[in-house]
Amino acid sequence: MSSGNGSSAVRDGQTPGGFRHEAFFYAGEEEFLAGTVSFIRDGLATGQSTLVAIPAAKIERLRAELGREAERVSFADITDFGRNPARIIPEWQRFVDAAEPGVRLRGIGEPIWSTRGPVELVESQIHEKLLNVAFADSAPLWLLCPYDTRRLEPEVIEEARRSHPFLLHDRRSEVSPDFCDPNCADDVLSDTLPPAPQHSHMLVFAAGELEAVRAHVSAHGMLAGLSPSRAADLVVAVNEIATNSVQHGGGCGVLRVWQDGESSVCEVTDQGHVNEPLAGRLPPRSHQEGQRGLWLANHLCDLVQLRSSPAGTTVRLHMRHS
Amino acid sequence: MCILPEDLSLHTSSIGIEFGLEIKVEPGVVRMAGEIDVSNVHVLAAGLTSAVAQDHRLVLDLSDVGFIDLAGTRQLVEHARQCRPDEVRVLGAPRALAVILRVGGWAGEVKLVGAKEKVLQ
Repeated sequence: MSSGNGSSAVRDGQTPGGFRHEAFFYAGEEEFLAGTVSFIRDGLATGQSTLVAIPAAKIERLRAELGREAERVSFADITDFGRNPARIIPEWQRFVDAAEPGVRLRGIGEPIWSTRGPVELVESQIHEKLLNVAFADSAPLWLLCPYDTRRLEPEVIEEARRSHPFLLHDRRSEVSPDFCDPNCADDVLSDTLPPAPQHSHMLVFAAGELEAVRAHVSAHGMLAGLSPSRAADLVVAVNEIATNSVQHGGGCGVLRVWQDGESSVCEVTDQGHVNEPLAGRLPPRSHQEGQRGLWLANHLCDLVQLRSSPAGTTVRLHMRHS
Repeated sequence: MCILPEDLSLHTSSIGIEFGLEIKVEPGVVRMAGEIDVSNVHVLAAGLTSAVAQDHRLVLDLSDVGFIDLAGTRQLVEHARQCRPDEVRVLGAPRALAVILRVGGWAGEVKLVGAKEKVLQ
């Protein structure tokens, strides 16, 4: 707790570590601006640092509404750095790490917008659950997550009620009765992915055969129309995941590659088990080796899906063609 | 081509060829050819250790290296830290090295000279 004001923290309803994760349901721009401006101004009035990570178009509207107060707020386009939702927690961690000791923090993060594709949506929902794990004990951060009830499907709103311990709607803040205890994030990676398509190209590999893995991915990427630099980045990412298979996943793995609309997809499966739900989302300095490989993949690819259970691990890497 | 100093060749002369890497080590200078990954990173490590032990500066010529992975990059960074500041240079690095240094949290640790936009064919 950074403020040292225990009674204030209790009123805020934050976790003992100071983290408050709250979904903000709004219908239309007017409600969005009213809720976010009020939240920001309350924080500024008490000297709190504020970072707003929302789509770029909304940033401009919010800046205009805040006027000169916008100069005291940091903004980031979440559709840029957060296209892969696994990159969002590191940005919040950077914000927390950069804060002056004793300063409390406010954040607005909108990781789910209406044009998110279905695969990105699922990963964004996993991200929301993992926020409760990432900052449970350590961050004096009040994070407000706007959800557009006019544009998002009802199931998305329902899921937000499960992933956020607090809800803000109609200007009222309340404990979410549907919140899934943070521990339920422990098995958030254990769901299975839809199977790879029948037409995917498969390569079984073992130690000493990573060069073949790289050649396979490179050839596929170039044929699919990836630029040389993006194909090279995909090769770096897949090589590290395949290296994890060789070193930690039973000594061998299976690579599958295919096209999915405008993306090239590479999937690596093995017999290993990743039991750290934040794998690949923690900054490199604190990584175990295998997790640093996942970190690389998350920052080089447009989307990375990790699923793991005692039965094995699947990592699916997506790289858009442009 | 595989020319190793005596102490290193005792351990790695055959490995250097067997694992698809060519390596030449001189005091402060290591030249390599091939692709570097977890299967042969020990060859790189041995070469770097030998070169750095003889002279606390390091020139690593990767002009004929098509790929280097995270494990190889880590070896390079760790050996570079044993050298005098500003006396580590990597020539002709493959694109993968620049990418891994930047994304892996090692930006600025190693000076790349004449890095190429080299990609696997």
